[in-house]
Amino acid sequence: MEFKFLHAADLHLDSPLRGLEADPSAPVEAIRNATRQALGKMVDLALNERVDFVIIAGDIYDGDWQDFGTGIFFSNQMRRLTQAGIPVFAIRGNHDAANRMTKSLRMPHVTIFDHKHAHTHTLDQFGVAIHGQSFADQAVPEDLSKDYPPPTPGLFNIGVLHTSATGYAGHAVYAPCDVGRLRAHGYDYWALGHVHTREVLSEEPWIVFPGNLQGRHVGETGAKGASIVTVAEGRVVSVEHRVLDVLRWENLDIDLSGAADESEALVRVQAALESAVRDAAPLPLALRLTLTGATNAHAALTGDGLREKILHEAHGLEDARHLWLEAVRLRTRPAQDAAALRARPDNLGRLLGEIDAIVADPATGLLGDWPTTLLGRLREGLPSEHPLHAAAEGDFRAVLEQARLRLEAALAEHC
Amino acid sequence: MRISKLTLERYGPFEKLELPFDPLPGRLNVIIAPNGFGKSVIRAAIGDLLFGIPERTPMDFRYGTERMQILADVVLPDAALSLVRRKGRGNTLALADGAPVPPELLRQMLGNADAAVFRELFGLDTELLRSGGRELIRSQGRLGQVLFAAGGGLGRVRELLSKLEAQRDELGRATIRHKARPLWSALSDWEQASTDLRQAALRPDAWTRLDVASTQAAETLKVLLAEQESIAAERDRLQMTGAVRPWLARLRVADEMLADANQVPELDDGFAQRWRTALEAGAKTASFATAAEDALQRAQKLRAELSFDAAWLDAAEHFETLGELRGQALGAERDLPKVEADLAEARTKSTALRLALGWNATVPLPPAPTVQRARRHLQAYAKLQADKTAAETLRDNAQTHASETASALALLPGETDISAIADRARLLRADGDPAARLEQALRRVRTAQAAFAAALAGIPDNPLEEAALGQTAAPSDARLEATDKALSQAETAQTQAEREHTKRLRAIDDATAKLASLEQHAMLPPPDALAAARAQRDALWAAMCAPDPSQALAVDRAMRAADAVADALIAHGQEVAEAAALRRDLAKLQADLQRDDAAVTKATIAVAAVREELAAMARAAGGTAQDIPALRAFLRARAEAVSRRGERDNEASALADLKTDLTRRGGALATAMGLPAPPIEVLGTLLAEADRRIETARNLAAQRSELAKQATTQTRALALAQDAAEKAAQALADWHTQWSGLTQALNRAPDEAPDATGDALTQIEELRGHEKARDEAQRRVGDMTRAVHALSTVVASLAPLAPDLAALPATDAAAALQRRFQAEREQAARCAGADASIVEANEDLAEKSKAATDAARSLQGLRAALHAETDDAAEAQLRRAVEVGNARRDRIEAMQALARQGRGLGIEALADRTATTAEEADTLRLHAIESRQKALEAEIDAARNNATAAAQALDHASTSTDAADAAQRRQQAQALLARTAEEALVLHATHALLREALDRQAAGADQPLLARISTVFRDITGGVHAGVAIEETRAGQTMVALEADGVARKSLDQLSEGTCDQLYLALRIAALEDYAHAAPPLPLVADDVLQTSDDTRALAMLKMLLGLSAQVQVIALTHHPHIAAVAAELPPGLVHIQRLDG
Repeated sequence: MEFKFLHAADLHLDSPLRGLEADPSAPVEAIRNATRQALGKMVDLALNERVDFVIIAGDIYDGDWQDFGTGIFFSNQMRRLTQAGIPVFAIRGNHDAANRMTKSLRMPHVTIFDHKHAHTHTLDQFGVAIHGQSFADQAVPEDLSKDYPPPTPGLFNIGVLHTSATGYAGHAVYAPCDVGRLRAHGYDYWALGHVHTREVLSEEPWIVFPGNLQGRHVGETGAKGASIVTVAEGRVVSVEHRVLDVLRWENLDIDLSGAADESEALVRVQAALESAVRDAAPLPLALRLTLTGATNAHAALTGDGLREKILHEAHGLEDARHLWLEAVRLRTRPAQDAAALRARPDNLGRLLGEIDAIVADPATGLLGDWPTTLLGRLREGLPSEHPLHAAAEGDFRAVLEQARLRLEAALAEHC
Repeated sequence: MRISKLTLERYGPFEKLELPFDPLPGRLNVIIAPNGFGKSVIRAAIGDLLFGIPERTPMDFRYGTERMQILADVVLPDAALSLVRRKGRGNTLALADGAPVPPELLRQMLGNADAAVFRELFGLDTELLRSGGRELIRSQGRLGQVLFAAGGGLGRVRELLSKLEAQRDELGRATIRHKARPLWSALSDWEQASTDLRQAALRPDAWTRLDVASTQAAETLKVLLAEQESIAAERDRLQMTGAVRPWLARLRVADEMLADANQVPELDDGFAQRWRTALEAGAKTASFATAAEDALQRAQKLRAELSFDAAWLDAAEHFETLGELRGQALGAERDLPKVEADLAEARTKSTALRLALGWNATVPLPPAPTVQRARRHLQAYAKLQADKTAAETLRDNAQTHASETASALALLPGETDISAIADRARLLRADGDPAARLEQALRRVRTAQAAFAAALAGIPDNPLEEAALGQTAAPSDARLEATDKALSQAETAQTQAEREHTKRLRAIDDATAKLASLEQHAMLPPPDALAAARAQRDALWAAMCAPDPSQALAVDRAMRAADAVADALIAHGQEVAEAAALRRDLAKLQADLQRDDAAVTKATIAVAAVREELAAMARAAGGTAQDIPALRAFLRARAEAVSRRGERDNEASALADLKTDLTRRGGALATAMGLPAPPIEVLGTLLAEADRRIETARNLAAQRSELAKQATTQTRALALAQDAAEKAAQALADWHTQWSGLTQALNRAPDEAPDATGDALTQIEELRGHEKARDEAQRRVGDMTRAVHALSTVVASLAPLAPDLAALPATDAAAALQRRFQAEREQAARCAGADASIVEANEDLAEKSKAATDAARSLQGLRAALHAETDDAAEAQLRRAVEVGNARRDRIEAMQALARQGRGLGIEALADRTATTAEEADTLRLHAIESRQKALEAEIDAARNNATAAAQALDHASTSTDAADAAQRRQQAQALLARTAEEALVLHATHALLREALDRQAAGADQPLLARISTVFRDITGGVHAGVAIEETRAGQTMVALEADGVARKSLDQLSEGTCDQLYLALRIAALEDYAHAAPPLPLVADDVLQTSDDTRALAMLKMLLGLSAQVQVIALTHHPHIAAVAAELPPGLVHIQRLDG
């Protein structure tokens, strides 16, 4: 008996791509409904590969997403599968559980595992038992896997679980579990969800995070997609990751060390951009750029309009329409020896020393009430991780460090 | 820069004012002049000297601007200059010789200072000192920037601070929501996108409503469609019932008809037509038979009424010719006289013609063919005669033409041999027209000459004459290359030597500058100061031995000066050592410099030697080039000129050769023409004459040839004409021979002229006609006579039939007989016609009778088929048969229609169905249904539209990405907002950080500038004030004076005017010191800045200024004479005082 199934997770349908500013030259069409497009590609993949069933390991939607049309879109896509005779099994993840919209959504084309306890669906024609349990609500601190049924003898056992496993940076802890325990549970394949980076935790048995279908921000870089699992004679023959995303996210660090001036620095930037766009082709690329290194161009780059300058360079690329600049982070340093600058016996040296001292031990009220005032008016519009929140609460060391770098460049340049 | 001498000419109140200054570092220049003398003019003059006299200067009040100028001798670290500044536009500063000041020297003089810097920092009076001090303390204005710049390179830090704040506020102020600012614009976008998202998001209840609406609309449509289908079926049933009802009726009628049709024969389709035809035929044939019988009877009756006399008919054969004979007899009686007259005339004319022909009556007429042949032969006679005459005329003409041509040919001149002329002319033209060739060769020579001249003119620097070109020679390439290489090497060596020399000079400059700096910082005396002082001391010591009391004071001063030198040397031992080392280095560098000079000189000589070699080569080649590129250019041009000269010479040689050749060929042609050899210029005329001769000869030859050709042709034509004439004569002779035979057959005399014979032929033909007419008339007379007799004979034979006619003339009797015979024959014909009619009528009767019989038989058969005895019965039977046939067809048609329209139902079922309701009820029901159908269609359309709209709404809801799009826009707006807010935050933090750092720095006690101000202020005040400090106030930072204890503080308001001035001077001195560290200082012109100070503090201030003069030349102007006494307290020789009293 040989069969194939598709394992996906973390669709986060209609979740907007974050951090991208409106830019007339950016590939707007690429991000329009990117998550929907990725799901469409997933269904196409399942149909083309003629998989025998599909497993979705949670987080079909964003937790705060309120558009019922998203659920209908998902249901319609699933109907394409069931109409082709491909059953779909899914669990609700933390986002799905938190989403009130899903409670009203009928899923006639998907078998949703119950949230009260883990239970099993069998596919007799393939000799498969699929075990799973949905999240009852957003917060699931206990290890759900412990209560999963024991493997059904004689069948290929698949466990579908939304979990943070042993913990991942950037991912909240949900239904934590131990990989060793999963391994010992006796299932042949653990179809996990929640972690957005593809990872194979084990191959004996297979314990797989397929990652999400579409990266949504610069924290979700690289190719995204789902896994095609082929089983023959009760054993996993292959687990292939198939790329399904429609827009790629990347972090690009560019070392500008030794760049003689701003022109040379921008030439390096353009070359790096060109290479990055080429690597991502044919997909459009959303890029966070970080400029590093000690360079004479530091002061010029610190000045006004760095982002616009980079965009200008990007527009000169052959495939400029495939590039979207998410952010430009300036981490360069002046080419001058910072220690030598500080050792100068004049006012500049003393001023830099004062600046260092202030940054090392800033006074609580150094920034005044400006951050608080501004935050009071912008709070709703700013993401929670925005530095203005921390600054308003008196934690502005990171901002001061940026300020120090700027001052160092400006003073070295002008004084 | 320092000024050693300033001269004002026609400037201000001065027509000419010369002011010498001590330019040495550490020397204070004091000018003492009363108020109104022009101290401020001197201060302004230095500014005008350095930065220009303003367009509208107040210094023209006495002398105007004409010849207004300021002259100065200035000393720079590396140079001494004499400058002149004139009144005028543009750059009016020049060196003494009028040359512009080199920019490098100008930079050394002024650095980046401008008139404003001089005015605010270096050109001071009391008011400026005070206002500047106040500005300085507030760290505002240009002076404050200069102070900070001088204090450690932070001149633009305040600007940076302001810029950071402006940049932050440009993004958006925290307290004012200005929508045009990026921060607030992004927030607006985010808010709008959030609103859009809320509105676009589909809620479950909305979805449910859409779903329910869609379902309900679909259900409604379904119900209506079902009703539509139902009533459509009902209508269909009713329509079917209505449609079959007539057919069922027809079927029923047909069946009823057929049920009673047992005795009715089944007839085929054509039976009725056959019956009708038979009936008609029977009636018609019977009628025809009756008519035939009637006709027979009428014929028989008519025959019985007719009879005739057969004897007349028996004599019919006689009557057949009787008419003809009677006609002939009547014609003869009418025509005989005329015919007899014609006979007599013909006989008369024949006799006359025979007489004319010379014939008697026995002579037979020649046969007509003979006559015709003779006439044809005679017709050819005229043509033969004409041909003979024409041929003879042609022959004669040809003879005439031939004679004329022979005469013309004989008249032509004899042939001339022009081949030699033609050959030589052709040879002369063999390579083209000689004139054109000459012109072309001349043009080439001129072109080559022009090119040569241009090449000569193009030789750079020193265009050569052609003769010089021939007298000079270009160097070989190898020699030129060798010289080039040697020059390059020499120049490289020279450059290297000069570079070493420059390097050495720079090292000397560096060492000198360093030494000067050491001397300035450490206030080191000149190297020989100690020796000089000791020498002076020793001299004075020696003099002291002489009885001169004033020498004691001099000795004391000299001792103190020597001590000061010694103290300086001791106090700055390290610097002295360093200075000594520098001096040694300088000495060594100077020695090296001398070697470098020698090397440079040697290299220069080598370069000069090679250049001389180069020049020699150039001279040998006729040029004056001074370097290799120039020489190469010269040689290239020279070679070009040589080449062009060769080309010109070649062209000239070609021209000479051409002239020789043409002269030779022209001479040959002239000889051939029997003319003397012509000059080359008239070769064209000679050729024209040759051409004329050749043309004439060729024309004559052509004429001769043409005449000869004509003579040949004419000879040939003459022979032909003679032959034709002979042939024509022979043809005429042959005719005569044949004609002779013919005249004999015509019974004509042999010697009769052909024309006469021709006339005879006409008479013969006429005679033949008369004789023929005579014979005919004679025959007709006979015929007429015989006809009359024959008629009489026949009439006589018929006389027994009509004895009453015997007395009548034969022709009348014959006519009567004929009439009677005709009447009898007609009567007999009528009898025969009647007999024939009877026969015909019998035959017609038989035929008609048979047809009637046949028709009756046929009718009888048809009646039998109809089982009828009579036609009426048959007719009735036939009508029934037709009705039965129609019934059968109706039944079939009805069955077919019912099968077609009965929806598969049987007859009985259809009958049952129609029987259940009345037709009227069905009709009413059908009308009602159709009415409902129309209404239903409208309802269905509306329901379908509703269902479609609901489905589309549902579909839109399931496929809409409006919410996702709005969410994406919100994310984009949020990203922009976050970035802008972060940028604003960083700018704010940067601004705050810099401000805090500056504040801390300003507040720091060890801040160098502040410390220096404190020191100067303390020294000026003699320790009454320990210095200054910075205090924070509500308005910001401000400077305060520290009391002697260094703790107590006084605001500037609490200081006396003099102390304030002293503080301002301290600020100014500190600022000038720092300025001098960073840039070349200008002279400080301090005008009455000491006026508010007592002597003690004035002395302290002079000491400070003296100290400042080590870095900045100080020129103090005062109207206080006692300042001179105060200045006397300073070390001697360090203060240069001059008094100006007008």
